[in-house]
Amino acid sequence: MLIFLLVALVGCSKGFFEEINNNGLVVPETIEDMQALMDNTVVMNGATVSGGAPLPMLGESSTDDFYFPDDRVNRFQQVLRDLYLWTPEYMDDEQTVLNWMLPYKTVMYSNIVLDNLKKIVPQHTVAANNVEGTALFFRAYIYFHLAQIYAVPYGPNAVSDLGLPIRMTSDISLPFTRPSLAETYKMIIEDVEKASELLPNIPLYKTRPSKAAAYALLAKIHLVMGAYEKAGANARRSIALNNKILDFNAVDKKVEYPMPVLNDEVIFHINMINSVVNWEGIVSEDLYGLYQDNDLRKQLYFSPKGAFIGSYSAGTGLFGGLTTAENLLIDAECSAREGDYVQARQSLERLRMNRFVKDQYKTLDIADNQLLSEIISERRRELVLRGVTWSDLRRLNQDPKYARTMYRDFGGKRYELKPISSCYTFLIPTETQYPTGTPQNKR
Amino acid sequence: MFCRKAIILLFLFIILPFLIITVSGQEGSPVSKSEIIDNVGGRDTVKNLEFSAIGYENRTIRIQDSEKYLTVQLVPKVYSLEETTVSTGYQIKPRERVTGSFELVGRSQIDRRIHQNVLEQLNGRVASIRFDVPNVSSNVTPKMNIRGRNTIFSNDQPLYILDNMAYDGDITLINSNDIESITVLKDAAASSIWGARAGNGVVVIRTKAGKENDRPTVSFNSSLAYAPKPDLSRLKRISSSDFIDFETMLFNKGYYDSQLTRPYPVAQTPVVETLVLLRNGLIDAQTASSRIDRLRTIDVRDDVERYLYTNKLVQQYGINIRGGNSALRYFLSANYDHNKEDKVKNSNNRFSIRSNTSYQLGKKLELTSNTVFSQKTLTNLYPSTLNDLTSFSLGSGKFLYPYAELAAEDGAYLSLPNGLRDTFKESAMEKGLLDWTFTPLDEIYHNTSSATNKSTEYLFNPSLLYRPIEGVSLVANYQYQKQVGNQQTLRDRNSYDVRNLINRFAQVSATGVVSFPIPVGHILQTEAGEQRSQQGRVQANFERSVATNHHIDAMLGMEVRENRIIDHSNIAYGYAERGLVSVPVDYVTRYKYYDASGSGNIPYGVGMTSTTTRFFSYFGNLAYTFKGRYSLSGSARVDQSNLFGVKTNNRKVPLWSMGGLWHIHQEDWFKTDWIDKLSLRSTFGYSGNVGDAVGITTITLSNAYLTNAARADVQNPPNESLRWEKNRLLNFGLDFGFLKNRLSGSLEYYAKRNTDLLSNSDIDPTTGLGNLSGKSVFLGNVATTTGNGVDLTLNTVNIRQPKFAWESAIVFSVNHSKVQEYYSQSTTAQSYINSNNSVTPLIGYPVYTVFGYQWAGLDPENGMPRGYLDGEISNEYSKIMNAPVGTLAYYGPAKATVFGALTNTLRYGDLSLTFNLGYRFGSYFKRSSISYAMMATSWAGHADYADRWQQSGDEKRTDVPALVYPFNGNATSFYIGSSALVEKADYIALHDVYLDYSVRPELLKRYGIKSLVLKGYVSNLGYLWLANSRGLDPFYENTVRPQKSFTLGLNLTF
Repeated sequence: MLIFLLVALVGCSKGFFEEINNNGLVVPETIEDMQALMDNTVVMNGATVSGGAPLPMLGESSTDDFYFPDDRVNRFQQVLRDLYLWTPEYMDDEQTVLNWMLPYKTVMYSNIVLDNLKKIVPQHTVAANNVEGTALFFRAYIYFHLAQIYAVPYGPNAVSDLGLPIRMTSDISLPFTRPSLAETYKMIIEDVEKASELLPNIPLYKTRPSKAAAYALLAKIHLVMGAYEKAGANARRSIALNNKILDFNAVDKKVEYPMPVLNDEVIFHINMINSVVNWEGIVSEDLYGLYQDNDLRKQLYFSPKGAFIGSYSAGTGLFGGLTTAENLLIDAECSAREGDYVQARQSLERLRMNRFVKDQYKTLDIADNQLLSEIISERRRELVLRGVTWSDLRRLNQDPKYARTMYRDFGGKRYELKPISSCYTFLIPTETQYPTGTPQNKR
Repeated sequence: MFCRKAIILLFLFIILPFLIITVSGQEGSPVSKSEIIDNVGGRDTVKNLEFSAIGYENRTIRIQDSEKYLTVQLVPKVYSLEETTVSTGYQIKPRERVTGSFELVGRSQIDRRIHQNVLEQLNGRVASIRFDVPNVSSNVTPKMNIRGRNTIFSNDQPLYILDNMAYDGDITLINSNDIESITVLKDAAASSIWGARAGNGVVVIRTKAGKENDRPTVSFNSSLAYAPKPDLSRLKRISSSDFIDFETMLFNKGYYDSQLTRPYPVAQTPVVETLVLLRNGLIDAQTASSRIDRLRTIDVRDDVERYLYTNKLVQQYGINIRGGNSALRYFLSANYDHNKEDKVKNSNNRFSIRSNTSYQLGKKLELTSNTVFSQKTLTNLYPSTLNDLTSFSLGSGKFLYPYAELAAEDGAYLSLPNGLRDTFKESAMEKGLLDWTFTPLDEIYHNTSSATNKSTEYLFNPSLLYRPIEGVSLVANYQYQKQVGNQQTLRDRNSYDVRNLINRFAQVSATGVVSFPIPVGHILQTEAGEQRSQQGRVQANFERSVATNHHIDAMLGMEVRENRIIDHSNIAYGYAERGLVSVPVDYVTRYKYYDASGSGNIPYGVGMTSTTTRFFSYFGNLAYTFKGRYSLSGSARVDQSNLFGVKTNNRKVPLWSMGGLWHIHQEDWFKTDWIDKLSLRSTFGYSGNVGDAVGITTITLSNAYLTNAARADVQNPPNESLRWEKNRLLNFGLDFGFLKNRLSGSLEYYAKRNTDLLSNSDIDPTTGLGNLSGKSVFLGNVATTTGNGVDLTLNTVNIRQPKFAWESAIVFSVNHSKVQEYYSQSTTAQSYINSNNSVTPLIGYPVYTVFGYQWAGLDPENGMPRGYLDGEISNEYSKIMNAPVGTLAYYGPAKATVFGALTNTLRYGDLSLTFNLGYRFGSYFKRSSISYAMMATSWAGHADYADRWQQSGDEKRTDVPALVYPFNGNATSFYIGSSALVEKADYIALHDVYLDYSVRPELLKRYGIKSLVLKGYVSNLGYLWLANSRGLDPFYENTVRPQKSFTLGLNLTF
């Protein structure tokens, strides 16, 4: 018995309390366990029809690219109708809470991995680096998308504007703060930059991030911040690692959801939360009219009734990941803004030649000074329901040249959302204000 | 002179007929009166005479040779507490030095109450203990609260300590015959030494041990208890005639039509079947009404009582030998019990052997070793519903209808409808399916399936005590405990249960070939569980008096504990005992059920679970006593466990206590004749309660969608601050003894605050916790409750005559509790309309509450129930039920706030009679009543049917709503939850009576018998007074209750 006691006492120093009470559960303690957490494609990538996805959808639901007939809107739950009509005040329901909670769940997984990685030896192996880079990337990816919904557009007041409630640890008992918008973006960029050093050039699965994905994400972030030079440079770094693009001529048009999942031009695969827009929204004349008849996207993106069928996740949800096409568009826009019209045209045409009916494709015949607005229009055509349209609205509305007022018609009344409006930022669910006291947004 | 002394002596004999005079030099054996006369009168060899009598101090008189007469004056005895030491499991301390709150049940009390369950020994004897149900059953560990409930959702049961070590097993394996004493630790000073597991109080059980220099004593116990069959007639069940009228009404309204025309029709009662025949013209009206009228006279309870229940018999035997010398002390015992339960075919037995030995290894070293083997076997009829009236299932959610017949008048067993309609079953049988008829008595007496549950315990508890110098001792304890539970359910191939299962899965091919995916044969289900617990402890004790006035008592130790539970279950189809054959089955295919009710897999009974709980603790306490009058004590304990969060483990914050004690009666200035004892005690401290929460991250493993890579899901998010629930206790105690302790006892007041209570609670969704319905909850330390109360124990010696004595013991407790903080609180009224024993915490109320919808009586127009909505009488039931909680009528707690017992003991010579009254006040319950819709679907109805509203004016005499069809479900829910059904639960009951007769030792001497005690014991004697005017049993309102039990026993010592 003394031996038992001695063994137990020695054992106390390590492991005695670490064996889990219920042996049916596993304590994550190996690199493989961490990788398995990151490879949970349901939580991290939202790769399922029924489950929730990690990217908030409130913004995309609020653009005027899609609309609903009046009788459908009448059957909407109150909050959905309020959001559809850009009502400043709205009450939370389960959908608005999920738009907040599900992204933070992905953040929690990342934080669990980052917290536990510190305990694993040896550190900094290839496998450990990949896991760490993955966790940092996911956390940054989610925060970036949350910032497009729950923080004001990035602008000159970023230092004083409120950012996001940021959780950098997995312990649910620890309090957390809501730093400024500038700090929020700084943390996001730091995470991605660190991830870009740790991740491999090309991932084993497209549900995992890579260097190419990290650069693409940096490009998106800098674009939103208006740092066009950095955005363009990162887009080109990403293209250098992965320049594959999907030729829409090769896509089978007879399929209900024609776009193949994990196709060639996908750099990183992730889904947005499903919403009624995804299933029942009808494309607006405004958007549909932007496509030329020989633009393959016109039939590959939209069903004859006007429903969106062009998600890169096929029928399983709305794709919110990264593609070569988006990289090309960022490169084109930033090059144009920097005055490098040759580079801008080259990237834009690379995309266009894969989007038009093969023998009907013609290069653009427009002046340099019209190029930027054409690129911006191309972004709206290409990146439908990926979260980009919403963040582009927030970004471009600050420039009167590209600002756009949105309209909706409902019940014989016309509703509008002015370019500069507090309705471009959503309310934080009231549940979060208790008990941590997160300050609420103005709307 | 002679004359006077003789008269005095004579007088003594008259008033003290039970005076025992012992003559020295004769080995202390008592002598009779006549011998004494001879001795005193004549011989002069006698030197010493010892006089002893009940109620008086013994007195020894030395007789001078020359002395012929003597006067003996016996001094009335000052009664003292029987046991003067209490055990905390770590230390045994003299009662006069403890500051904490202890309650003790000693051996003489334990020996008198003949009960299989050792915990029944606490019932009505210890203030502050409230058993959930006052009648403790023999085979189940009874639920109890010490000083009320200290938690909301976590374990609320006390920690049990057996011979110094935590006992993790089944407490009912312990036999009362082996028990020396039970100490209940109630306050922080007493229990905080047990740290994070002591929050619900601690019950310390000590087994008997041999004494030094004690000659071997053999003791034999035996008892036989009898309880008659349960009384089913008191159950409030609808009469057969009423039920038939109800069914006829429903039949005429077409209620059964869709059930009858379905291709796979559900079973119907004989009345409905008769009405169908009548409607189809297969029988005439006269035949139908004569059939139905015959059924009106039948009460199923007659058959049930006759065939499903039997008289209960409990036999108990025990033998033990104890003794000791300077080198060895021992206590060896063997016990065997056999119970025949009141449900037929249910029986159980219990066997245990125990060896408690202590070896003196030299002057300084002592080895004590307790070894126990015990086994309990329960054999029950399977399915267990077959011998239970209230749960007797007839398939498809139906129960025994009021006029069901189990046997014909000639005794032939009858079949009953079960599951599917007989016509459907007959056609299935024609196709080649197994016999599908259900004949209950065949199931019980012929094709008997049984479930045998055997639990075996091995316990080895050695300890080493080393006393290097006076006052210092080092103790090392170890305990290995293994409990193996083995449950075997053999489902007989001919039983309805098995035939029904095989038939449900039977597949009929297009060509009419029947195949059975479940093989025709027995089904054997096994479940094996094993619990292994190891505990080790090293401890140093120091106890010394410094000078004469200072006494120091200190202890320091550490302890490590591991408890592993492994459980696996298995199922074997087509089992045959001969050759141990079983047949493999296809668990993968989903089979369509034969009755087309859906499809399913063959039940897969293979499962495994395993848990490991580990604790590492260190602790110490210190007590200082000055002049024997003033004591101060302090204790602290640090627990670390794999149950807690990392932070809790690292922080090492001890649970601690402090206490003080003042013996006022020992003060020089306090000298009063009539006060023998007056002491003040007070303690303050913390103990804890471990919940089920896990503070570390856990994951489950599977494969990822889209990539098929290994995937992990977080099951338990990290919550490093997750900690045990904390119980703060403040205790004041007053111990007193007046009039030579003829009136003695203690009065205590306590206040508790239970913080960090674990509960599922809303959490900020920013943490990422939550489910897809948008609800973010987690298990956290989120609630606070408070409690306070008074415990009073009063012992009185009312009459103390030599021949006759009357003593009383009063146990009185008050306990109030209140929820102070709770984060996720529901606001709608219906959340709080729960059955009597479920918990829905509401701030400002006790943990268990009785609420009712405000009742506005029945509507005189239509007899529908009415409540209040916004202050107006209303029948908008769903609005009333969803109104804010404040609209409810609050009655009070569902658990008694004032409770206790009164024990009276009468002694007349060698005969003593004790009777225990138990009482509880201050709580409420909801009685049962009729739900028409449920009666239609379940065939079980309530007698209130007869009292229902039938015409205007009835609302003055009854609250039972009218019967309307179609049924109004909301009206029923409202009525069942309304205050019309709330009753007071207060009662006074005669708990038990025991009668002992000790045969005079001098009569036994010639047989070599030291003592013989004959005992009678009667329990469950029922209520003397009930607060509710309907005479409803608050605990068994409409369920079968335990019957009066009569026990005869003897105790023989050689």
